[in-house]
Amino acid sequence: MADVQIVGLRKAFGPTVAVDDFTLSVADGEFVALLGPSGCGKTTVMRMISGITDADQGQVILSGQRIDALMPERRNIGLVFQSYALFPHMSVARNVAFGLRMRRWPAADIAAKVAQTLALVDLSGHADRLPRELSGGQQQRVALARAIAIEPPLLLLDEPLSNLDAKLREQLRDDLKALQRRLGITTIHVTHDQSEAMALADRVVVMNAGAIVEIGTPRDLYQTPRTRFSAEFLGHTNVIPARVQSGRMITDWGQFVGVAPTGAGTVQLSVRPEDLGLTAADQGAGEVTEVTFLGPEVEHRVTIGGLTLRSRSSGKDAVVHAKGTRVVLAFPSDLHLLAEWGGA
Amino acid sequence: MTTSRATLWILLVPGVGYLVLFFGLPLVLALLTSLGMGTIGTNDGFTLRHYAELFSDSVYRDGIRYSLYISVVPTLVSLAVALPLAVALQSTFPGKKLFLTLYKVPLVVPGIVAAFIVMILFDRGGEMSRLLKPLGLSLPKLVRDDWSLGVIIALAWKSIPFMTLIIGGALASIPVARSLGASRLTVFWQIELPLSLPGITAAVLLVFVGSTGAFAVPSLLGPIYPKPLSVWMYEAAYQKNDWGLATAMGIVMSAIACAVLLAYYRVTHGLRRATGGEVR
Amino acid sequence: MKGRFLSIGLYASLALTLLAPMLVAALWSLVDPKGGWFAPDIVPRAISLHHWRAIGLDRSLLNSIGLSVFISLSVTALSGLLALPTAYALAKIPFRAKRAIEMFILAPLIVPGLIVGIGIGYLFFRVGLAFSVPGVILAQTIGTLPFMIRILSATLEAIPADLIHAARSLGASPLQVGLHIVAPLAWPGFIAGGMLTFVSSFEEFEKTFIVGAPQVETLTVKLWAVLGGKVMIFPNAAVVTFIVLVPTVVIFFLAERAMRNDGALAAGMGKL
Repeated sequence: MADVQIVGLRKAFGPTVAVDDFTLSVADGEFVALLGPSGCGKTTVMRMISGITDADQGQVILSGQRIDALMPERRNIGLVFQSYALFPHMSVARNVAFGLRMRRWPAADIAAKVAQTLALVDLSGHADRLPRELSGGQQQRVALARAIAIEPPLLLLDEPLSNLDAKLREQLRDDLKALQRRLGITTIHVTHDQSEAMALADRVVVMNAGAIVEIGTPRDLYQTPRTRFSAEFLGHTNVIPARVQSGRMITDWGQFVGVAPTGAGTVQLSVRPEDLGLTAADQGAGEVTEVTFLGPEVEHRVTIGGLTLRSRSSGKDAVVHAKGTRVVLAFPSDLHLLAEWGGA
Repeated sequence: MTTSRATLWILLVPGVGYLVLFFGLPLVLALLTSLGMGTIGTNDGFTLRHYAELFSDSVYRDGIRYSLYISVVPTLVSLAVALPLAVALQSTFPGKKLFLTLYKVPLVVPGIVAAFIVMILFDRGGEMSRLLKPLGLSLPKLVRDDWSLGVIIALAWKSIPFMTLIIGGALASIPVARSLGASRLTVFWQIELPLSLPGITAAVLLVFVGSTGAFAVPSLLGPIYPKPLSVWMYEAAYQKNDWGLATAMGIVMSAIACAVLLAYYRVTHGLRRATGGEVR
Repeated sequence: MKGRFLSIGLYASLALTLLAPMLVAALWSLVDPKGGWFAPDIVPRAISLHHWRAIGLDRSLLNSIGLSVFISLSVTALSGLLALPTAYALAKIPFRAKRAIEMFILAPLIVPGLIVGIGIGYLFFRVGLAFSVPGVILAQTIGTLPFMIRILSATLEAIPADLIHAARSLGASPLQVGLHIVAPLAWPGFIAGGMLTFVSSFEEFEKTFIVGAPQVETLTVKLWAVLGGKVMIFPNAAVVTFIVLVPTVVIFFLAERAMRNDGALAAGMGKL
């Protein structure tokens, strides 16, 4: 059972606290993404798990054993770097074989494992090439092969796809997911790209300023985020403040249909652009200020009651309104409220 | 994976320790001796008489002036050649790679050989004067002459590649501002020169201080009088056995070198910032 | 087109300032002792290999050659051994006093060799190392060590930290990392550094002179003796000049080859 328990990890560099009280449980075979902006501490967490950086406090327990006091070479964790970090003076095969040589595997077993792993990442013909002769995508696959060849219980990926161009990134993303499913390795993936996190992960850990903001499945995080930060980080959203009055949520320009929370005060609604509909109406409170054709979607920007909201519709039959059209907005029936403390 | 203090010390001791022992310590001892508190020669207690002698005796004052002369002039001459050369080396031209290695040769030629070359070429009856004779021209006195032209030529010859190397490095690290139709000269004056000024300053400082210790070249090519301070220092130590005076001279020259070192570090630190390099 | 003019101009200057002097020096070394070479002859009337052949018979010159080679090799080895751990610390370990230490290491390069020589010669008197080969070796190392430290640390710095982390994560102990990753990648830089140190020691004069002369007579000290003596013997000086210069320049060229660009060289000699 290669499960991972991370308890209370903390790291400070001088007066700056990079990671504060990071606690996470990862199940065997689970794919978890650490998602957040630059400087949120996600890479520091990864480096503490792998042993590159010493934690000030906290524990890391892998398969029931504490590893945080071990030297990096004893932790048996596969690492894939953003820079690939392939050994430039070794061939692809020797790169992949390196970890096995360090474990003193017999030569024949090494050769077999290398061949098998290269086949898994679809690089069988390139065994004798040098890293500099390979493309970025191929180098990344070698880095992956090198990490999984040692059959680690845990795989750590540090923004492995960031250096690749968009199309290649998507392709490798799919390959990565398929590979992980097939091998069933517990994986923690660090990234700042929310679409990547959502596409790959079983669960996403949203981080900001050294702390965990929210944890959830991609779908839950996207559709019902608890905090404004998560809502705005995972794709676009419209945040609408509303007042609660006698069981209803109202704004200056309209009332919401739906059950309001009890009590009084203000709430924040989060509505995704694709869930916000527009209908042209002469007396509409909103006005279209900008229309952008994005390819798969059309985005309308609407000013209403002092707010600027975005609405997106897809497909070739989507209605396109001209600038200046007055519109009414259509909201989904189950509105999502952000938890109050999560305000950005 | 952070290293312990003990490991750090162990790693630093061989290199740094050696220099402390063989460079730092003698410097301190020399300072003490120059102040009359050393263990060789004069040791009758703190005194400034060695420094007083150094600065009051006209012979030594002339020596200081002469040392400055043969430090400043070759540096300026080198700069006049190295700067355009460094700029020229930023362009591509056929045979550039070979040239880049060839022009550095004087770096590994000892001063004595440079002096020898000047001797065989520029002395009375040297090759240059023999070549010019049939044309009815003659060279001015360049060896053992009052203006120390031979000395300047030899020292500049040795310094030009070094200066070119450093200035070239500074120029190369400037991101190319090939912008909007500005002529090559404008780009140079307004962008490259100001940005590489720290590097140029660094080069000038290093060459200047290197020349202050010139010994072989002025001895072989310079006039009988005045002698540079370096020669006086040698004579004070090994011919007159006056270590107090010799170390006083040494300390004065070391003080100049240290001042230059600090200025150099100030300037290169500024250069790193200016060109966006990382400040470690 | 402009490139070609530049090339011609630069190479012409080089020929004038480097090739021509060497040519004249070569001619001096080939002067026939019976005829000599006097003004106004532009070229000696008779040339012979006499002075070159005489090398084999000149005991003291052969001594000087052997001494120079031995000392330079020793200085290179000593500098390398002392520099490596310090260079590693400077390259890979962040610590607060780093800037101060770097400045201190730079100091022996900036303080003129003569002054270092006087300072150390003075000390060596007391401990009986003056006028001795070990004394000269120790004195020269003061000047080569900073250079070696800088060039080695520049080489080590060029190895990305990620490579080392990757190797550690794959199970390599620090020693194995050094063996399998750092050494192969740093090797060329180290060789270049060693060659340049050898060259620097081979052509060194001031410190050797102060500490060792006249007992320890390396090639440069010998040249001084020949040129500074009562009668300047140009042919002999020319021969010694070439014995010093040819290996120096050849090794220098090889070192340049080993180092890809001026970056590391500038780093070693006056980093920006």
